[in-house]
Amino acid sequence: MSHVSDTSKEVILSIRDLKVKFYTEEGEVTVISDVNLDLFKGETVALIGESGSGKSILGHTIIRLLPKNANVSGHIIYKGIDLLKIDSSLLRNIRGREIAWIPQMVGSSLNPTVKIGVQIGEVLIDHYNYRNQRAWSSAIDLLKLFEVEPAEEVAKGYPHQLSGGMKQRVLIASAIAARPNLLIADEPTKGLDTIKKTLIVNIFKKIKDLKPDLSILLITHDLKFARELADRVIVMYCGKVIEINDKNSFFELPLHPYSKLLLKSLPSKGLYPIPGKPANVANPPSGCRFHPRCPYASDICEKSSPPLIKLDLNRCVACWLYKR
Amino acid sequence: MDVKALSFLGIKGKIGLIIILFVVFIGITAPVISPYDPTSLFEPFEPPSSTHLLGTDDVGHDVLTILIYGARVSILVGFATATISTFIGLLTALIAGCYEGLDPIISRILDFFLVIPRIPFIVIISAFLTPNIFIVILVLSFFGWAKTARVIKPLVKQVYSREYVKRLKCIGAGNWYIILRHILPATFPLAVAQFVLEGGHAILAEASIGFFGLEDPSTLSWGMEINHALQKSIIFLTNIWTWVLGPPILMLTITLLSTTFISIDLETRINPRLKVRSW
Amino acid sequence: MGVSRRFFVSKAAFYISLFILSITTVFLLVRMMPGSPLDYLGGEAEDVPYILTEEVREKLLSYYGLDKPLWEQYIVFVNNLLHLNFGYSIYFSEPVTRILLPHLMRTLILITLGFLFSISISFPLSIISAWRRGSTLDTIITLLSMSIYSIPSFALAILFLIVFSVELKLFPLIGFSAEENILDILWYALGPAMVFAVAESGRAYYFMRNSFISELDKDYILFAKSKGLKNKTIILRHLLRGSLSPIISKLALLFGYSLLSCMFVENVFNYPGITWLLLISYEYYDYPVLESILLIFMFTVIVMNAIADIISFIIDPRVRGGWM
Repeated sequence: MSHVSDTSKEVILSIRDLKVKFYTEEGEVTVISDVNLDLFKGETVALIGESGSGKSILGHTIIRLLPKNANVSGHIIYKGIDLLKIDSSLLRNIRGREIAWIPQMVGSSLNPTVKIGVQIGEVLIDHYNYRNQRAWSSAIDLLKLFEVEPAEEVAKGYPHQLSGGMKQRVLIASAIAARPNLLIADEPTKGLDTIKKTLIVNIFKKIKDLKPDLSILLITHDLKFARELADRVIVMYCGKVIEINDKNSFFELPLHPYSKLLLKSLPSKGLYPIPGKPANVANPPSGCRFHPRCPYASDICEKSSPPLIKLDLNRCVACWLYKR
Repeated sequence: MDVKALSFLGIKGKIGLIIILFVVFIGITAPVISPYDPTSLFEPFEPPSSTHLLGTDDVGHDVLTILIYGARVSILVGFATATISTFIGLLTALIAGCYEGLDPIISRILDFFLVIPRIPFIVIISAFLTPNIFIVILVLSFFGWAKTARVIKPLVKQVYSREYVKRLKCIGAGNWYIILRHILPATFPLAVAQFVLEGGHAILAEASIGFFGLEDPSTLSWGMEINHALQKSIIFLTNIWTWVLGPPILMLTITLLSTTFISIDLETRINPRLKVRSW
Repeated sequence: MGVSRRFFVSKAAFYISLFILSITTVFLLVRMMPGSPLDYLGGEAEDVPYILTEEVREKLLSYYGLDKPLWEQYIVFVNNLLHLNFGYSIYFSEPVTRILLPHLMRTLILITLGFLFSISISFPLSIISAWRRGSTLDTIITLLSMSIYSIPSFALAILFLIVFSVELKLFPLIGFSAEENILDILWYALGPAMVFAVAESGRAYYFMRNSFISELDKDYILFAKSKGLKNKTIILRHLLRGSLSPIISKLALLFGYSLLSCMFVENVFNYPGITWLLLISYEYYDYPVLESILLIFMFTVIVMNAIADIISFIIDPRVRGGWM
C-alpha cells in the first residue's frame, strides 16, 4: 500500500482503496479496483488511459454521478469530507461550487430548450443567491473571456445555434461559473480538430489565470493535450492505476511498459501500435493486467498483480520490473 | 434487445401470466366445469346459495355458468384479435420499414386509422351485421392492426439501417431473406408485448360492445351480462347488484389487469430505462 | 425559412386529405346503413305504415334529398358542410346545430372538468415517481395507476354510483333532470367528471412518467445535477421545459379522444352528452345528426393532432428555428 504524498503541497482530494462495481444482467463487473491517489491544490493532473480503462468512471465516481446499479467502496476525501458518505444536501453544495465536472458529451449536455446565458448563470443563482441580472452579466463576462462572440447574442440564443467548438466553450463556462476548487474535465478534446484543440488549451490556461489555485483533473487519451497542460500524469489500464509520474519525467522516461508503448504509438515517435487487444474489465487477465501485451512479461506477471511501487517522491509504478 | 428479454418475466408479469392462464383454463374447460348448461333457466334474481353459488340473473341464468362461458368469449376474442392484428400489423411494419418507397403511403393510411373512432364505427357496423363474436373479432382486428404497425415500424427501420444489414445486401442477400432471418427476430419481443396489449384492448372493446347491448343477444359474454343487469334499476334497490353485476365486472377487471401487467413487464424489459435508473 | 414553409404546406395537405377521407367514410357508412329514417318518423316503428302512405313517403324522401343517387347526395352533403350547414334533424325536426350544441356543451363541460381533475392528480405524481424512480413510493403509485388503468371506465362509473348514490346517497341515482343554471349543470357533471378523471388519470400518469423518465436520462440533466443545482431548478427548468412539448401534445390528443372515451361514463350516468345523442340518432337512423356527431369525433382528433404539431412548434426552439 503506497501513495503519493508531498508535504510541501496541500492535498485537496485523496482517493483511497477505491473500488467500483457494476451490477449487470450478466453479473458483477469490477470496473475500477485499488485506486489510490492524491490531488494537490493548484495542480493539473492528466488521467490517461484508453477507452474502457475506467478513467471516465473515476470522474463520475468523484462527483457521485454513477448510475444506481454501481457499487462504490473506499474513500474519496475532499477537504476532510468523505464524498462517498455525505447526504444529498451537502453533496449538492459541493457539486458545482467546490467540485465541477465537464461532461464528455458536448452535443447533448446543454439543454436545448434553455437560453445559453441561463445555463451558465444558474449555478451562481443556486449557490450564491445571485440576482438574475447579476448572474446574466457574469455569464456574458465568461462568454467574452472564452471568446464566444457576440457574447450578448449568444447568451440570448439556444444551443442548436452554436457550433461544436462554441458548445464546448459554453459547457466549460457553465461548469466553472461558480469558481470551483477542483475541476474534472472528461475528454474535453474529444472529436475536436487540432485548431480547436489549441483553443481549448487556451481556455484551460485562462481558467487557471482566473483562479490560480484551481486543481484540474484532466481525463483524456490525448497525450499531446496532456503534455500541454498537465503538471503530473496518472496512467490507468483496465481499471487500475499503473503509473503516477511528473509530466516531464513521464514524457522523457516513462516507467511502465504500457506507457512506453503508448508514447511510441504517437505519430511523432513513429506510430508503432501497441500489440494485442485492450484488456476487458469484464474479464480481466490474471496477474498484471497488461501482461498479455507486454514485451517484458515474465512468469510472475502472469501469476500475481504488481502493487503500486513508490520509486521516489513523485513517481510510482505498478510493474514487477521495478521490484528489486 | 433480444429474444432473451422474453425468457423471464418479473413478478408483475408472472402474476399476470398466472391470472390469464387461469382465465384461459376456465374458458377452455367451460362445458366441463360449469355447474349448469348455459341455456337452462331458473328463478330470476335468486341470491347465492348451494345450488347457485353466485345466484341467478334477471332472466334466471346461473351467474357462475354465464361467468365461465363469458371467459370463453373474452379469451377467444382477445386471442384471435391479437393474433390477426399483430400479424397484419407486423407485416405492414416490415413492408413499410424495408421498402422506403411504400412508407409514405402506408404512414398516411396508419394515420387515418388513428382518427377513426373505434366504438361508434362498431356501433354503425352492427347495423349492417349482427355482431356475433366472429364479426366482433374481424371488426376489432380491422381497427387494431394499425396501432401495432405504428409501434413496430420505427424499430424495423432502425434494424434495417444497421451496418450488418447493409453488408448482407452487399453480398447479395434477398430483401425477404433479410427481413425474415434478421429483422423479424429483432422485432419479436416488441411484437409479443404488442400482442398482449392488443389482446387486452380487444377484450375491453368486446366487453364495451356487450356493455352497450350491441352483441348478438345469444352471446354469453361478461359485457352483455353487465348490460342486462344495468337495464334493471331494481338491482340497485336491494343488494342484487352484488351477485349480478359484481362478478362479471370483477372477472373483466382482473383479466384486463393481468394483460396490463404482462405488457408493462415486457415493456420495461424491452426498454429497461423505464425501470432501473441508468444514470 | 424555406424548409419551415415546406413543412407547413405538407402538414396542411396531410390534414386536408384526412378531413376529406373522414367525410367520405362517414357519409358512405351512414347512408349505406340498412334501414331508413322514415321508419321512425310517425313514432314507434309499428305505427309507421298507417301514417306514412307511399305518396307521403316519396315526398318526404325527396324533401330530405334521399331519393337522389348516392353521389348526388354526397355532393349536396359536402357542399352543405362547406357552408357549415349540418342539415336538419329528421327525428327531432330541428336544425342539427340546435340539437347538437347543448349536448356537445355538456360533454365538453364533463371532459374539461375531468381533465382538470385528472391532470392535477397525475402530473405531480408522475414527476415524483420519475424523480424517485425505483423507490417504494414509485412502485406503489405505478401499480395503483396501472390497476386503475385496467378497470373499464364503465365499471368505475358503476362502482361510483353504487358507493355514492346507492350506499351514501350523495348523488341522485338518475343522472340528470332539467338544468336551471350553471351550478346545476356543474353539479350534474361533477359525478361523471370525477369518474372520468380517475379513469383517465391512470393513462395520463403512465405516459407522463415515461416521458419524464426518458427526459431524466438525458445528458443535460446529468450535467445540471453535476452543477449542484437545486432540485427545484432541475425539475422546473430542465426537466419540465424539455418534456413539456411532448406532454402537452399528447394531452391535446387525449383530450380529442376523450370526447369519445367519456361514452361509457355518460351512458352509466345517463348524462345527456354527445355520445348519448349518438346512440339516439343511431337508433332512429337520424342521418344528419349521426353524420355530424361522427364528423365531430373525427374532426376533433384531427384538429387536436394539428394543435399538437403547432404546440411543439411553438414550445421547442429546435423546431422553431427550422430543421437543422
